[in-house]
Amino acid sequence: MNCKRGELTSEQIIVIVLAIAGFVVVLLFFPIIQPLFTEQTSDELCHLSVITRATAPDALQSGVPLKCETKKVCISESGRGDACSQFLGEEGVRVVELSGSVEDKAKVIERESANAMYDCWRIMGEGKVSIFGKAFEQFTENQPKCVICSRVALADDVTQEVKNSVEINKYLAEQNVPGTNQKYLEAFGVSAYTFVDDVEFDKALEGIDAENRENIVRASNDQDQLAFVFMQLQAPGTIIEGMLGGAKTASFVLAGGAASTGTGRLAINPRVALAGVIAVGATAGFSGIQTYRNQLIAGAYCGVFEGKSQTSSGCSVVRGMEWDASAINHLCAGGIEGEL
Amino acid sequence: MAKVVLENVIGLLIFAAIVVMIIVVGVKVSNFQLGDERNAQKFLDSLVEKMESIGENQTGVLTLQGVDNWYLTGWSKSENPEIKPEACFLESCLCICEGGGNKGSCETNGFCEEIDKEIEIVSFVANRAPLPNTNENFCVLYKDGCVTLPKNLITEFRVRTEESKIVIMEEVSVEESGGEYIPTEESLRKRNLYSCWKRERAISEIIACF
Repeated sequence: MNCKRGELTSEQIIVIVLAIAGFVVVLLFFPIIQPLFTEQTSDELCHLSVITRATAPDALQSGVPLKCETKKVCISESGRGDACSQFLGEEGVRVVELSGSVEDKAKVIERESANAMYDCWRIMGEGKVSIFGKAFEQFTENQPKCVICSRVALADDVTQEVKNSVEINKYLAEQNVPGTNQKYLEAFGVSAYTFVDDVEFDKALEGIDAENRENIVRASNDQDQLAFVFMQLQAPGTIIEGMLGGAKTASFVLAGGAASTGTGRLAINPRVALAGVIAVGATAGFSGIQTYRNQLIAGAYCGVFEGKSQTSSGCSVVRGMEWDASAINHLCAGGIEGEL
Repeated sequence: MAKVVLENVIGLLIFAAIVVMIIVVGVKVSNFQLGDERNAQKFLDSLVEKMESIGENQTGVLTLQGVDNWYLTGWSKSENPEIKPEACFLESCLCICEGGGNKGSCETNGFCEEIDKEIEIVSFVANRAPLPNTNENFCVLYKDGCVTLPKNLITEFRVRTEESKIVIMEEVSVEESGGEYIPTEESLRKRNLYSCWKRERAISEIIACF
Protein backbone atom coordinates (compact mmCIF):
# COMPACT_ATOMS: atom_id res chain seq x y z
CA MET A 1 0.00 0.00 0.00
CA ASN A 2 1.39 3.39 -0.88
CA CYS A 3 0.63 5.96 1.82
CA LYS A 4 1.99 9.38 2.23
CA ARG A 5 3.41 10.01 5.67
CA GLY A 6 0.78 11.62 7.92
CA GLU A 7 -2.11 10.63 5.65
CA LEU A 8 -5.04 8.91 7.28
CA THR A 9 -5.74 5.44 6.06
CA SER A 10 -9.25 4.42 5.06
CA GLU A 11 -9.45 2.20 8.12
CA GLN A 12 -8.67 5.08 10.43
CA ILE A 13 -11.25 7.30 8.82
CA ILE A 14 -13.91 4.62 9.19
CA VAL A 15 -13.09 4.13 12.85
CA ILE A 16 -13.22 7.85 13.61
CA VAL A 17 -16.53 8.28 11.81
CA LEU A 18 -18.04 5.28 13.62
CA ALA A 19 -16.86 6.54 17.00
CA ILE A 20 -18.33 10.01 16.43
CA ALA A 21 -21.58 8.55 15.14
CA GLY A 22 -21.90 6.31 18.19
CA PHE A 23 -21.29 9.24 20.50
CA VAL A 24 -23.96 11.30 18.75
CA VAL A 25 -26.49 8.48 19.06
CA VAL A 26 -25.85 8.21 22.81
CA LEU A 27 -26.27 11.97 23.19
CA LEU A 28 -29.59 11.85 21.33
CA PHE A 29 -31.06 9.20 23.60
CA PHE A 30 -29.69 10.53 26.89
CA PRO A 31 -32.41 13.20 27.49
CA ILE A 32 -35.05 10.51 27.03
CA ILE A 33 -33.53 8.07 29.47
CA GLN A 34 -32.39 10.47 32.15
CA PRO A 35 -35.83 11.74 33.39
CA LEU A 36 -36.87 8.18 34.21
CA PHE A 37 -34.28 8.14 36.97
CA THR A 38 -34.32 11.81 38.00
CA GLU A 39 -36.45 11.53 41.13
CA GLN A 40 -34.60 8.57 42.50
CA THR A 41 -31.30 10.02 41.51
CA SER A 42 -31.86 13.34 43.31
CA ASP A 43 -32.67 11.59 46.60
CA GLU A 44 -29.74 9.27 46.24
CA LEU A 45 -27.45 12.15 45.27
CA CYS A 46 -28.51 14.02 48.36
CA HIS A 47 -28.05 11.00 50.62
CA LEU A 48 -24.67 10.27 49.09
CA SER A 49 -23.52 13.84 49.67
CA VAL A 50 -24.73 13.63 53.28
CA ILE A 51 -22.73 10.47 53.91
CA THR A 52 -19.70 11.84 52.07
CA ARG A 53 -19.70 14.95 54.22
CA ALA A 54 -20.35 13.03 57.42
CA THR A 55 -17.42 10.70 56.84
CA ALA A 56 -15.01 13.43 55.71
CA PRO A 57 -12.38 14.65 58.18
CA ASP A 58 -13.72 17.45 60.38
CA ALA A 59 -11.53 20.09 58.77
CA LEU A 60 -12.82 19.24 55.32
CA GLN A 61 -16.51 18.81 56.04
CA SER A 62 -17.49 22.32 55.06
CA GLY A 63 -15.78 21.85 51.70
CA VAL A 64 -18.13 19.02 50.74
CA PRO A 65 -21.33 20.53 49.31
CA LEU A 66 -24.70 19.01 50.12
CA LYS A 67 -26.38 18.17 46.84
CA CYS A 68 -29.89 18.40 48.23
CA GLU A 69 -32.68 20.26 46.51
CA THR A 70 -35.91 21.23 48.22
CA LYS A 71 -38.76 19.20 46.81
CA LYS A 72 -42.00 21.01 46.07
CA VAL A 73 -45.33 19.22 46.26
CA CYS A 74 -48.60 20.84 45.22
CA ILE A 75 -51.75 19.10 46.40
CA SER A 76 -54.91 20.17 44.61
CA GLU A 77 -58.32 19.05 43.43
CA SER A 78 -57.66 20.07 39.86
CA GLY A 79 -54.26 18.45 39.46
CA ARG A 80 -53.10 21.42 37.41
CA GLY A 81 -49.43 22.22 37.33
CA ASP A 82 -50.03 25.86 38.31
CA ALA A 83 -52.64 25.16 40.98
CA CYS A 84 -50.45 26.26 43.86
CA SER A 85 -49.70 29.97 43.80
CA GLN A 86 -47.20 29.31 46.57
CA PHE A 87 -44.87 27.89 43.92
CA LEU A 88 -45.11 30.68 41.40
CA GLY A 89 -42.04 30.65 39.21
CA GLU A 90 -40.72 27.44 40.73
CA GLU A 91 -39.60 24.51 38.64
CA GLY A 92 -39.87 20.81 39.34
CA VAL A 93 -43.16 21.02 41.26
CA ARG A 94 -44.75 17.61 41.74
CA VAL A 95 -48.51 17.76 41.48
CA VAL A 96 -50.77 15.48 43.51
CA GLU A 97 -54.41 15.36 42.52
CA LEU A 98 -57.07 14.69 45.12
CA SER A 99 -59.99 12.48 44.29
CA GLY A 100 -62.63 10.39 46.01
CA SER A 101 -64.36 11.07 49.31
CA VAL A 102 -63.32 13.65 51.89
CA GLU A 103 -61.62 10.90 53.89
CA ASP A 104 -59.74 9.68 50.82
CA LYS A 105 -58.48 13.19 50.12
CA ALA A 106 -57.43 13.72 53.70
CA LYS A 107 -55.54 10.44 53.57
CA VAL A 108 -53.61 11.65 50.54
CA ILE A 109 -52.56 14.81 52.37
CA GLU A 110 -51.55 12.77 55.40
CA ARG A 111 -49.60 10.34 53.26
CA GLU A 112 -47.73 13.03 51.37
CA SER A 113 -46.83 14.81 54.60
CA ALA A 114 -45.73 11.61 56.34
CA ASN A 115 -43.61 10.58 53.38
CA ALA A 116 -42.06 14.02 53.10
CA MET A 117 -41.06 13.83 56.73
CA TYR A 118 -39.84 10.24 56.57
CA ASP A 119 -37.85 10.76 53.37
CA CYS A 120 -36.18 13.77 54.94
CA TRP A 121 -35.21 11.78 58.02
CA ARG A 122 -33.92 8.83 56.01
CA ILE A 123 -31.93 10.89 53.51
CA MET A 124 -30.28 12.92 56.26
CA GLY A 125 -29.02 9.73 57.89
CA GLU A 126 -31.78 9.56 60.53
CA GLY A 127 -30.01 12.28 62.39
CA LYS A 128 -27.21 10.00 63.50
CA VAL A 129 -24.48 11.48 61.33
CA SER A 130 -22.84 14.83 61.81
CA ILE A 131 -23.55 16.89 58.74
CA PHE A 132 -22.75 20.44 59.60
CA GLY A 133 -19.12 20.48 60.49
CA LYS A 134 -17.02 20.41 63.56
CA ALA A 135 -18.66 21.67 66.72
CA PHE A 136 -17.70 25.08 67.90
CA GLU A 137 -15.70 25.13 71.04
CA GLN A 138 -18.08 27.52 72.72
CA PHE A 139 -21.51 25.98 72.99
CA THR A 140 -23.25 29.35 73.06
CA GLU A 141 -21.90 30.13 69.63
CA ASN A 142 -23.38 27.04 68.13
CA GLN A 143 -26.55 27.54 66.23
CA PRO A 144 -28.81 25.05 64.50
CA LYS A 145 -28.20 24.50 60.84
CA CYS A 146 -30.83 23.18 58.50
CA VAL A 147 -31.74 21.59 55.26
CA ILE A 148 -35.23 22.27 53.93
CA CYS A 149 -36.15 18.91 52.48
CA SER A 150 -39.65 19.60 51.19
CA ARG A 151 -42.36 22.17 50.82
CA VAL A 152 -45.89 20.84 50.70
CA ALA A 153 -48.61 23.25 49.68
CA LEU A 154 -52.38 22.99 49.45
CA ALA A 155 -54.00 24.73 46.51
CA ASP A 156 -56.91 27.11 47.00
CA ASP A 157 -59.35 24.55 45.64
CA VAL A 158 -58.80 22.15 48.56
CA THR A 159 -61.92 22.49 50.68
CA GLN A 160 -62.00 23.35 54.35
CA GLU A 161 -63.87 20.12 55.00
CA VAL A 162 -60.93 18.14 53.66
CA LYS A 163 -58.42 20.20 55.65
CA ASN A 164 -60.37 19.67 58.87
CA SER A 165 -60.27 15.92 58.31
CA VAL A 166 -56.49 15.67 58.19
CA GLU A 167 -54.97 13.92 61.22
CA ILE A 168 -51.35 13.46 60.46
CA ASN A 169 -50.23 12.32 63.90
CA LYS A 170 -52.74 9.51 63.80
CA TYR A 171 -51.44 8.57 60.36
CA LEU A 172 -47.86 8.52 61.65
CA ALA A 173 -48.88 6.34 64.58
CA GLU A 174 -51.00 3.86 62.66
CA GLN A 175 -49.53 3.54 59.20
CA ASN A 176 -46.47 1.63 58.14
CA VAL A 177 -43.68 3.14 56.16
CA PRO A 178 -44.19 1.85 52.60
CA GLY A 179 -42.39 -1.41 52.05
CA THR A 180 -41.75 -2.03 55.76
CA ASN A 181 -43.48 -3.37 58.86
CA GLN A 182 -42.47 -0.32 60.83
CA LYS A 183 -44.81 2.48 61.80
CA TYR A 184 -43.69 5.99 60.89
CA LEU A 185 -43.40 6.92 64.54
CA GLU A 186 -41.12 3.99 65.22
CA ALA A 187 -38.98 4.95 62.24
CA PHE A 188 -38.52 8.36 63.86
CA GLY A 189 -37.43 6.73 67.09
CA VAL A 190 -40.59 7.76 68.89
CA SER A 191 -42.37 5.07 70.86
CA ALA A 192 -45.12 7.30 72.15
CA TYR A 193 -46.14 10.88 72.05
CA THR A 194 -47.97 12.97 74.53
CA PHE A 195 -50.71 15.38 73.75
CA VAL A 196 -50.86 18.34 76.02
CA ASP A 197 -53.58 20.92 76.08
CA ASP A 198 -53.02 24.63 75.83
CA VAL A 199 -52.97 25.19 79.57
CA GLU A 200 -50.24 22.65 80.11
CA PHE A 201 -48.24 24.00 77.22
CA ASP A 202 -48.42 27.56 78.54
CA LYS A 203 -47.26 26.29 81.92
CA ALA A 204 -44.31 24.55 80.28
CA LEU A 205 -43.39 27.77 78.53
CA GLU A 206 -43.54 29.67 81.81
CA GLY A 207 -41.04 27.27 83.25
CA ILE A 208 -38.47 28.37 80.70
CA ASP A 209 -36.27 31.20 81.83
CA ALA A 210 -36.58 34.59 80.21
CA GLU A 211 -33.34 34.40 78.27
CA ASN A 212 -34.28 31.16 76.61
CA ARG A 213 -37.82 32.28 76.01
CA GLU A 214 -36.44 34.78 73.55
CA ASN A 215 -35.71 31.83 71.33
CA ILE A 216 -39.37 31.06 70.96
CA VAL A 217 -40.14 31.53 67.31
CA ARG A 218 -43.69 31.98 66.22
CA ALA A 219 -44.18 30.97 62.66
CA SER A 220 -47.15 32.20 60.75
CA ASN A 221 -48.30 32.42 57.19
CA ASP A 222 -51.51 32.45 55.23
CA GLN A 223 -50.27 30.30 52.41
CA ASP A 224 -51.36 26.79 53.46
CA GLN A 225 -47.85 25.60 53.02
CA LEU A 226 -45.63 23.48 55.21
CA ALA A 227 -41.88 23.11 55.17
CA PHE A 228 -40.27 19.85 56.29
CA VAL A 229 -37.02 20.90 57.85
CA PHE A 230 -34.06 18.91 59.09
CA MET A 231 -32.19 20.71 61.86
CA GLN A 232 -28.98 19.73 63.55
CA LEU A 233 -27.17 21.23 66.47
CA GLN A 234 -23.82 20.06 67.71
CA ALA A 235 -23.05 20.30 71.37
CA PRO A 236 -20.54 18.96 73.87
CA GLY A 237 -21.49 15.62 75.38
CA THR A 238 -22.33 16.99 78.80
CA ILE A 239 -25.06 19.13 77.33
CA ILE A 240 -26.79 16.11 75.89
CA GLU A 241 -27.58 14.72 79.32
CA GLY A 242 -29.47 17.84 80.17
CA MET A 243 -31.31 17.81 76.89
CA LEU A 244 -32.47 14.27 77.32
CA GLY A 245 -33.76 14.94 80.80
CA GLY A 246 -37.20 15.89 79.63
CA ALA A 247 -39.18 18.97 78.96
CA LYS A 248 -38.95 20.47 82.38
CA THR A 249 -35.29 19.92 83.07
CA ALA A 250 -34.11 20.79 79.61
CA SER A 251 -33.77 24.38 78.65
CA PHE A 252 -35.66 24.02 75.43
CA VAL A 253 -38.56 22.11 74.11
CA LEU A 254 -39.48 21.36 70.57
CA ALA A 255 -43.17 21.91 70.24
CA GLY A 256 -45.33 21.04 67.34
CA GLY A 257 -48.20 23.42 67.56
CA ALA A 258 -49.73 26.66 68.56
CA ALA A 259 -49.77 28.15 71.98
CA SER A 260 -52.64 29.89 73.70
CA THR A 261 -55.00 29.15 70.92
CA GLY A 262 -57.97 28.17 72.95
CA THR A 263 -58.58 25.57 70.28
CA GLY A 264 -56.47 22.83 68.80
CA ARG A 265 -54.05 20.65 70.63
CA LEU A 266 -50.34 20.30 70.94
CA ALA A 267 -48.05 17.37 70.69
CA ILE A 268 -44.87 17.52 72.71
CA ASN A 269 -42.59 14.58 73.06
CA PRO A 270 -41.10 15.04 76.51
CA ARG A 271 -38.13 12.91 75.58
CA VAL A 272 -37.10 15.25 72.83
CA ALA A 273 -35.26 18.46 73.47
CA LEU A 274 -33.31 20.57 71.07
CA ALA A 275 -31.12 23.22 72.60
CA GLY A 276 -31.29 26.57 71.00
CA VAL A 277 -34.73 27.04 69.60
CA ILE A 278 -38.37 26.45 70.05
CA ALA A 279 -40.66 26.35 67.08
CA VAL A 280 -44.22 27.23 67.81
CA GLY A 281 -46.82 27.63 65.14
CA ALA A 282 -48.76 30.81 65.46
CA THR A 283 -52.47 31.05 65.09
CA ALA A 284 -52.88 34.36 63.40
CA GLY A 285 -52.94 34.47 59.66
CA PHE A 286 -53.10 30.77 59.01
CA SER A 287 -55.97 29.75 56.89
CA GLY A 288 -57.35 27.24 59.28
CA ILE A 289 -55.82 23.83 58.99
CA GLN A 290 -55.79 23.60 62.74
CA THR A 291 -55.66 19.88 62.94
CA TYR A 292 -53.10 19.56 60.22
CA ARG A 293 -50.69 22.12 61.50
CA ASN A 294 -51.00 22.14 65.24
CA GLN A 295 -50.31 18.52 65.79
CA LEU A 296 -47.21 17.91 63.78
CA ILE A 297 -44.73 16.03 65.89
CA ALA A 298 -41.04 15.76 65.31
CA GLY A 299 -38.62 12.95 64.79
CA ALA A 300 -35.44 13.39 66.73
CA TYR A 301 -32.16 11.92 67.81
CA CYS A 302 -29.88 13.21 70.53
CA GLY A 303 -26.57 11.57 71.23
CA VAL A 304 -23.18 10.78 69.85
CA PHE A 305 -22.91 10.99 66.10
CA GLU A 306 -21.87 7.81 64.37
CA GLY A 307 -18.37 7.53 63.07
CA LYS A 308 -17.12 10.41 65.17
CA SER A 309 -15.28 10.72 68.43
CA GLN A 310 -17.17 10.68 71.71
CA THR A 311 -16.93 14.47 71.87
CA SER A 312 -18.98 14.87 68.72
CA SER A 313 -22.57 14.80 69.79
CA GLY A 314 -25.70 16.81 69.43
CA CYS A 315 -29.31 16.68 68.40
CA SER A 316 -30.99 16.22 65.06
CA VAL A 317 -34.64 16.90 64.43
CA VAL A 318 -36.96 16.64 61.49
CA ARG A 319 -40.26 18.42 61.66
CA GLY A 320 -42.91 20.11 59.66
CA MET A 321 -43.61 23.75 60.25
CA GLU A 322 -45.44 26.58 58.63
CA TRP A 323 -43.62 28.09 55.70
CA ASP A 324 -42.60 31.35 57.26
CA ALA A 325 -39.27 32.54 55.89
CA SER A 326 -38.53 34.78 58.85
CA ALA A 327 -39.28 32.04 61.38
CA ILE A 328 -37.29 29.43 59.49
CA ASN A 329 -34.34 31.81 59.20
CA HIS A 330 -34.55 32.45 62.92
CA LEU A 331 -34.65 28.75 63.71
CA CYS A 332 -31.87 27.94 61.29
CA ALA A 333 -29.66 30.81 62.37
CA GLY A 334 -26.56 28.79 61.56
CA GLY A 335 -27.56 28.66 57.91
CA ILE A 336 -29.59 26.66 55.44
CA GLU A 337 -27.77 24.29 53.14
CA GLY A 338 -28.85 22.63 49.94
CA GLU A 339 -30.82 24.37 47.22
CA LEU A 340 -34.22 25.89 47.79
CA MET B 1 -7.09 -5.30 9.45
CA ALA B 2 -9.52 -6.22 12.21
CA LYS B 3 -6.74 -5.92 14.73
CA VAL B 4 -5.86 -2.46 13.44
CA VAL B 5 -9.47 -1.36 13.70
CA LEU B 6 -9.77 -2.73 17.24
CA GLU B 7 -6.60 -1.04 18.41
CA ASN B 8 -7.76 2.27 17.01
CA VAL B 9 -11.19 2.03 18.63
CA ILE B 10 -9.69 1.20 22.01
CA GLY B 11 -7.26 4.04 21.67
CA LEU B 12 -10.05 6.45 20.78
CA LEU B 13 -12.15 5.35 23.74
CA ILE B 14 -9.28 5.76 26.17
CA PHE B 15 -8.53 9.18 24.74
CA ALA B 16 -12.18 10.22 25.07
CA ALA B 17 -12.33 8.97 28.68
CA ILE B 18 -9.22 10.97 29.60
CA VAL B 19 -10.64 14.12 28.01
CA VAL B 20 -13.92 13.70 29.89
CA MET B 21 -12.09 13.17 33.19
CA ILE B 22 -10.02 16.30 32.63
CA ILE B 23 -13.16 18.32 31.92
CA VAL B 24 -14.96 16.97 35.01
CA VAL B 25 -12.02 17.69 37.30
CA GLY B 26 -11.61 21.14 35.82
CA VAL B 27 -15.27 21.97 36.37
CA LYS B 28 -15.19 20.72 39.95
CA VAL B 29 -12.10 22.75 40.77
CA SER B 30 -13.57 25.91 39.26
CA ASN B 31 -16.84 25.38 41.14
CA PHE B 32 -15.01 25.01 44.44
CA GLN B 33 -13.02 28.17 43.95
CA LEU B 34 -15.83 30.38 42.72
CA GLY B 35 -18.68 29.09 44.90
CA ASP B 36 -20.07 32.46 46.00
CA GLU B 37 -19.80 34.00 42.55
CA ARG B 38 -21.49 31.03 41.01
CA ASN B 39 -24.27 31.22 43.60
CA ALA B 40 -24.69 34.93 42.97
CA GLN B 41 -25.01 34.43 39.23
CA LYS B 42 -27.44 31.63 39.84
CA PHE B 43 -29.45 33.85 42.20
CA LEU B 44 -29.82 36.53 39.56
CA ASP B 45 -30.70 34.08 36.79
CA SER B 46 -33.25 32.39 39.02
CA LEU B 47 -34.84 35.69 40.08
CA VAL B 48 -35.20 36.93 36.51
CA GLU B 49 -36.64 33.63 35.38
CA LYS B 50 -39.19 33.60 38.19
CA MET B 51 -40.11 37.22 37.55
CA GLU B 52 -41.00 36.37 33.99
CA SER B 53 -43.59 33.89 35.19
CA ILE B 54 -45.60 36.61 36.92
CA GLY B 55 -48.37 37.99 34.75
CA GLU B 56 -48.91 41.68 34.11
CA ASN B 57 -50.56 43.63 36.91
CA GLN B 58 -50.03 40.72 39.26
CA THR B 59 -48.00 40.27 42.42
CA GLY B 60 -46.13 37.11 43.26
CA VAL B 61 -43.95 35.99 46.17
CA LEU B 62 -40.61 34.58 45.07
CA THR B 63 -38.30 32.54 47.31
CA LEU B 64 -34.55 32.40 46.86
CA GLN B 65 -31.45 31.56 48.85
CA GLY B 66 -29.20 34.43 49.84
CA VAL B 67 -25.48 34.84 49.24
CA ASP B 68 -23.33 36.39 51.93
CA ASN B 69 -22.04 39.94 51.29
CA TRP B 70 -23.85 40.23 47.97
CA TYR B 71 -26.54 42.81 47.31
CA LEU B 72 -29.43 42.95 44.89
CA THR B 73 -29.83 46.29 43.20
CA GLY B 74 -31.11 47.77 39.98
CA TRP B 75 -31.35 50.82 37.78
CA SER B 76 -34.03 52.04 35.45
CA LYS B 77 -33.49 53.10 31.87
CA SER B 78 -34.66 56.60 32.76
CA GLU B 79 -31.97 57.12 35.39
CA ASN B 80 -28.83 59.15 34.81
CA PRO B 81 -26.35 56.83 33.06
CA GLU B 82 -23.51 58.24 35.10
CA ILE B 83 -24.76 56.63 38.30
CA LYS B 84 -25.22 53.27 36.63
CA PRO B 85 -22.60 50.58 35.99
CA GLU B 86 -21.43 50.20 32.41
CA ALA B 87 -23.45 47.03 31.91
CA CYS B 88 -26.64 49.08 32.48
CA PHE B 89 -25.60 52.23 30.69
CA LEU B 90 -28.56 52.63 28.36
CA GLU B 91 -31.06 50.10 29.65
CA SER B 92 -32.86 49.06 32.81
CA CYS B 93 -31.07 46.31 34.61
CA LEU B 94 -31.09 44.15 37.68
CA CYS B 95 -27.73 43.47 39.30
CA ILE B 96 -26.25 41.39 42.07
CA CYS B 97 -23.01 42.85 43.37
CA GLU B 98 -20.44 41.97 45.96
CA GLY B 99 -19.85 44.32 48.86
CA GLY B 100 -22.46 46.97 48.12
CA GLY B 101 -25.35 48.14 45.99
CA ASN B 102 -23.71 51.03 44.18
CA LYS B 103 -22.08 51.51 40.82
CA GLY B 104 -18.56 50.95 42.12
CA SER B 105 -19.33 47.62 43.74
CA CYS B 106 -21.18 46.37 40.69
CA GLU B 107 -18.36 47.30 38.37
CA THR B 108 -15.77 45.68 40.63
CA ASN B 109 -17.55 42.38 41.03
CA GLY B 110 -21.14 41.97 39.98
CA PHE B 111 -23.51 40.46 37.50
CA CYS B 112 -26.19 42.42 35.69
CA GLU B 113 -29.05 41.47 33.48
CA GLU B 114 -31.01 43.81 31.24
CA ILE B 115 -34.71 44.16 31.93
CA ASP B 116 -37.15 45.59 29.41
CA LYS B 117 -39.16 47.60 31.96
CA GLU B 118 -38.38 50.24 34.53
CA ILE B 119 -37.08 48.76 37.78
CA GLU B 120 -37.91 49.80 41.30
CA ILE B 121 -36.52 48.02 44.35
CA VAL B 122 -38.19 48.76 47.64
CA SER B 123 -37.53 47.66 51.17
CA PHE B 124 -40.29 48.10 53.66
CA VAL B 125 -40.31 47.78 57.37
CA ALA B 126 -43.60 46.42 58.52
CA ASN B 127 -45.31 47.06 61.76
CA ARG B 128 -48.25 44.79 61.45
CA ALA B 129 -50.01 46.08 64.52
CA PRO B 130 -52.86 48.44 63.74
CA LEU B 131 -52.40 52.17 64.00
CA PRO B 132 -54.18 53.78 66.97
CA ASN B 133 -57.86 54.44 66.33
CA THR B 134 -57.74 52.58 63.05
CA ASN B 135 -57.91 49.03 61.93
CA GLU B 136 -55.07 49.42 59.49
CA ASN B 137 -51.58 48.06 59.85
CA PHE B 138 -48.86 50.29 58.59
CA CYS B 139 -45.63 49.78 56.71
CA VAL B 140 -42.73 52.15 56.27
CA LEU B 141 -41.61 52.12 52.70
CA TYR B 142 -37.96 52.79 52.13
CA LYS B 143 -37.12 53.11 48.50
CA ASP B 144 -33.44 52.57 48.53
CA GLY B 145 -33.10 50.35 45.50
CA CYS B 146 -31.00 47.76 47.24
CA VAL B 147 -31.54 44.52 49.12
CA THR B 148 -29.07 42.87 51.48
CA LEU B 149 -28.99 39.15 50.90
CA PRO B 150 -28.72 36.97 54.03
CA LYS B 151 -26.01 34.36 54.05
CA ASN B 152 -27.42 30.93 53.29
CA LEU B 153 -30.86 31.93 54.48
CA ILE B 154 -34.20 32.37 52.78
CA THR B 155 -34.95 35.62 51.00
CA GLU B 156 -38.49 36.32 49.90
CA PHE B 157 -39.49 39.06 47.52
CA ARG B 158 -42.86 40.32 46.48
CA VAL B 159 -42.68 41.21 42.81
CA ARG B 160 -45.36 43.31 41.18
CA THR B 161 -45.34 43.65 37.42
CA GLU B 162 -47.02 46.65 35.86
CA GLU B 163 -47.30 47.66 32.24
CA SER B 164 -44.05 49.57 32.18
CA LYS B 165 -42.49 48.82 35.56
CA ILE B 166 -41.40 45.96 37.77
CA VAL B 167 -41.38 46.57 41.50
CA ILE B 168 -39.37 44.25 43.73
CA MET B 169 -40.35 44.53 47.37
CA GLU B 170 -38.51 43.08 50.30
CA GLU B 171 -39.99 43.05 53.78
CA VAL B 172 -37.42 43.86 56.42
CA SER B 173 -37.95 43.28 60.11
CA VAL B 174 -37.43 46.08 62.55
CA GLU B 175 -34.30 44.32 63.79
CA GLU B 176 -32.89 44.04 60.29
CA SER B 177 -33.51 47.72 59.64
CA GLY B 178 -31.26 48.64 62.52
CA GLY B 179 -33.92 48.64 65.19
CA GLU B 180 -35.84 51.56 63.73
CA TYR B 181 -39.00 51.76 61.69
CA ILE B 182 -37.43 54.63 59.79
CA PRO B 183 -33.77 53.67 59.63
CA THR B 184 -31.11 56.24 60.27
CA GLU B 185 -27.53 56.08 59.11
CA GLU B 186 -26.44 55.34 62.66
CA SER B 187 -28.90 52.51 63.14
CA LEU B 188 -27.95 50.96 59.83
CA ARG B 189 -24.23 51.22 60.46
CA LYS B 190 -24.79 49.51 63.79
CA ARG B 191 -26.23 46.52 61.95
CA ASN B 192 -23.69 46.70 59.14
CA LEU B 193 -26.42 47.41 56.62
CA TYR B 194 -25.27 50.82 55.47
CA SER B 195 -23.43 49.71 52.37
CA CYS B 196 -26.72 48.59 50.87
CA TRP B 197 -29.10 51.22 52.15
CA LYS B 198 -27.05 54.23 51.13
CA ARG B 199 -28.62 55.42 47.91
CA GLU B 200 -29.30 58.93 46.78
CA ARG B 201 -32.94 58.45 46.08
CA ALA B 202 -33.87 56.98 49.46
CA ILE B 203 -37.37 57.99 50.41
CA SER B 204 -39.45 56.86 53.32
CA GLU B 205 -43.19 57.08 53.59
CA ILE B 206 -45.80 55.40 55.67
CA ILE B 207 -48.36 53.36 53.81
CA ALA B 208 -51.01 50.85 54.60
CA CYS B 209 -49.51 47.38 54.54
CA PHE B 210 -50.33 44.98 51.75
